[in-house]
Amino acid sequence: MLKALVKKQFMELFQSFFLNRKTGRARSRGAIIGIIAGFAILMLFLCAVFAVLAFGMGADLLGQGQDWLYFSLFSLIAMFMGVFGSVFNTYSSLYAAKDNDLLLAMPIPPRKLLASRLIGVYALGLMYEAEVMLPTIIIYWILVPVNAARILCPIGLTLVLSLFVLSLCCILGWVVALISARLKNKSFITVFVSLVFFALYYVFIIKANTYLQQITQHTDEVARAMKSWLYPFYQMGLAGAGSALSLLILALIAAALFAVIYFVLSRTFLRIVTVNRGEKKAVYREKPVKTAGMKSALLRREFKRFTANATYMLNCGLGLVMMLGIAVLVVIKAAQIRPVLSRLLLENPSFAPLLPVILAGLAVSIVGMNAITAPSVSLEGKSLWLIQSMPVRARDVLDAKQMMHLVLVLPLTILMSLCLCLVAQMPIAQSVLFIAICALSACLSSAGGLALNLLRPNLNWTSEGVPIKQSMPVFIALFGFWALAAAIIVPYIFLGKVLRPELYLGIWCIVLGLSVALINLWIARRGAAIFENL
Amino acid sequence: MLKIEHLTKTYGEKKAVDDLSLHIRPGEIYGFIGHNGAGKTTTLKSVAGILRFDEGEIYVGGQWPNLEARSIKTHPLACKRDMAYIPDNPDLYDYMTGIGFLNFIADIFGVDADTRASRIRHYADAFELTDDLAQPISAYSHGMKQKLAVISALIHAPKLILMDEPFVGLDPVAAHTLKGIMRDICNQGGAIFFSTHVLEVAEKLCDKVAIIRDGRLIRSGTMEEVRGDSSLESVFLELEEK
Repeated sequence: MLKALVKKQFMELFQSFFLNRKTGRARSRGAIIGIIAGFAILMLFLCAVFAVLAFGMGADLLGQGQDWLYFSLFSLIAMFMGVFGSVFNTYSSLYAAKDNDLLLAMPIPPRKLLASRLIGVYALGLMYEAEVMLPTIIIYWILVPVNAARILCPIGLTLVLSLFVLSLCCILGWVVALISARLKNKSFITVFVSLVFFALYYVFIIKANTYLQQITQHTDEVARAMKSWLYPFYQMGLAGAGSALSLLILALIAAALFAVIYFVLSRTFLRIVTVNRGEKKAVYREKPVKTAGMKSALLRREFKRFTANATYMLNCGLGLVMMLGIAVLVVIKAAQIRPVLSRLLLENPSFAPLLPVILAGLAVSIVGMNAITAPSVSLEGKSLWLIQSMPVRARDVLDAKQMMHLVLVLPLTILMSLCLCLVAQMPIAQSVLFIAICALSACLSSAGGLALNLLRPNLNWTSEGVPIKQSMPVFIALFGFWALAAAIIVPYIFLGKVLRPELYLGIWCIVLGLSVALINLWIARRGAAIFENL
Repeated sequence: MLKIEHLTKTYGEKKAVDDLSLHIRPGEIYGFIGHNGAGKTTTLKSVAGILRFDEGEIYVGGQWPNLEARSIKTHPLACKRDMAYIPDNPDLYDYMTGIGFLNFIADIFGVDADTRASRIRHYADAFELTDDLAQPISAYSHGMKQKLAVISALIHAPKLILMDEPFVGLDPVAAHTLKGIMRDICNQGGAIFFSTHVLEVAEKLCDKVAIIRDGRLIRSGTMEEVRGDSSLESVFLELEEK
């Protein structure tokens, strides 16, 4: 029975390899091989990244005889990867599994169900953790003379770490389940948390080199800090470096911790998965209603759909945050940016006409990160019948989709472009054209995204993530603007000698304006008819 | 109220509806019966203006008998204003609350604040859904979604209601309430065209009934004309076996 449950658990984990979530059909043999190969390449790439990191740090630390610090630091990274990579899987597969009711209705002892779920969580955690530990160990074996202890202890440490990862995932997954069940504005909080993670990630990437240098330059201080503040990681470092005693102590602690968690979970598993501690039921109280016209009702509907879906906001509206961030950043850092630009222009006078064009290209690529209309038709999904059975013109529905895009994107586009103009101290004519190009790009992303989705709609999805993340219109809408940015910048590198930037930007304004007008004309004539017949 | 003339709809090679003609007058509850895949949903969707059809005409509303002025092909919006459609599987906007959804529908149909408030109160109480109106639709059960779909269909007081298996998923009390409402609407001059597999319901509720097989209308008329001295079930089974 346990074998069957574990098999099901692994099939669930890797079902996207074998099943097309878009169509719900089994993938072809070629597609399966392609996806598995792609996944393996991604895993190898991550291993290679950590191997480079391990080699860089290992050369310094191992040379100084700080083997334990090498393993301490990589144990920390490995645990972070393991927990971060599988905590949400723990939540969905252990605490909020969709088949809990189905399986609990069968004669399956809950402890076996729990064990099968934990084996799945363990496997995923081990996979993420191994991405760090595998290259760490291999580089270690390359850089130091090996003996039995140096071969076996790091492997033992990897297995011990995987138990810690499993225990931490169980605890954090439970916290996620608890918070998720009680949250009201889940989509906004998900977006907020994701943005915080993005910010931390980028800060880490930007500062990683500095941190590495600091670690290798101040190994004694880092070692002292490890011993006093992160003692368990100090012990992990010792274990990795060949201390069998440390490894044994850690193994006992990990086993004891997991035993306690397993005991608590086995006692409470049934209650956890069957008790609905969901958010408090909202009580309906009749209030005076503000009526709205048909067009504003359609617009409100679009806003409700957008704000109710964290995946939609994050994947198709990330540019909004970027534009606001850039506007704020350039204003705050104006005093530092201006002297750099002045020096650059003083040293390279020929760069002066290029600057507004390059900035326009970059701004256009940021504006294009908003693909809000691109999945908007597909997102109608199975509820399309509602809008089709109402006395509304298809054109009005499509206008509402574009209007939402513009209401969200246009003000921030203008704000960002205005801030860039002010900080770059562009002349008025250039500024007007620069802002116009950015604004027209926003209109183009709105109309273009909608047109693409009308041409390639996908209404038969089971998860809203499919039309948002696995959709050609969204992909083209997002990355098409990188091509547009290149089309704006590259020709001017050659045309800059003969064309003034104002004239060049003016030409682009006309091109973009005409494109927007033509696409809107197509939407009004052909697109509306396509929508009616979906 | 509804005049379907020579309706034909083809999917690829298959004729889902083949030369179907039906006339439904104000005050009539018209039952539409047929096996799975007979063409009931295709007909209802064509009338609702959701599905384009290949041949024929559909006229909705207007003053009987001058219905030609409002063809679903040429005046889709005017026809839809007089109609409501309830599908067999109510996929509603899960991202809205029940009350948000009802207000959205009322806004689209231009129902004023007082009228909509009183209709929402009346129908939500009748279907025992008032307490759940502040909940997101994603938290609703199938039956609750079905009730909400029915209330949303009634909110603009349509003259013609199209229902595809309206009783599926409804509890007995709600089904009883819906039958009462259907009768009230027809008593006030409205008309209802609905499909069902529950022949006992059709027999008790409908003034007229149409039986469709493989897209073709095989019998229609008043309940008495269709069933004669036997039951609707026997007639239906007999016709299906032919």
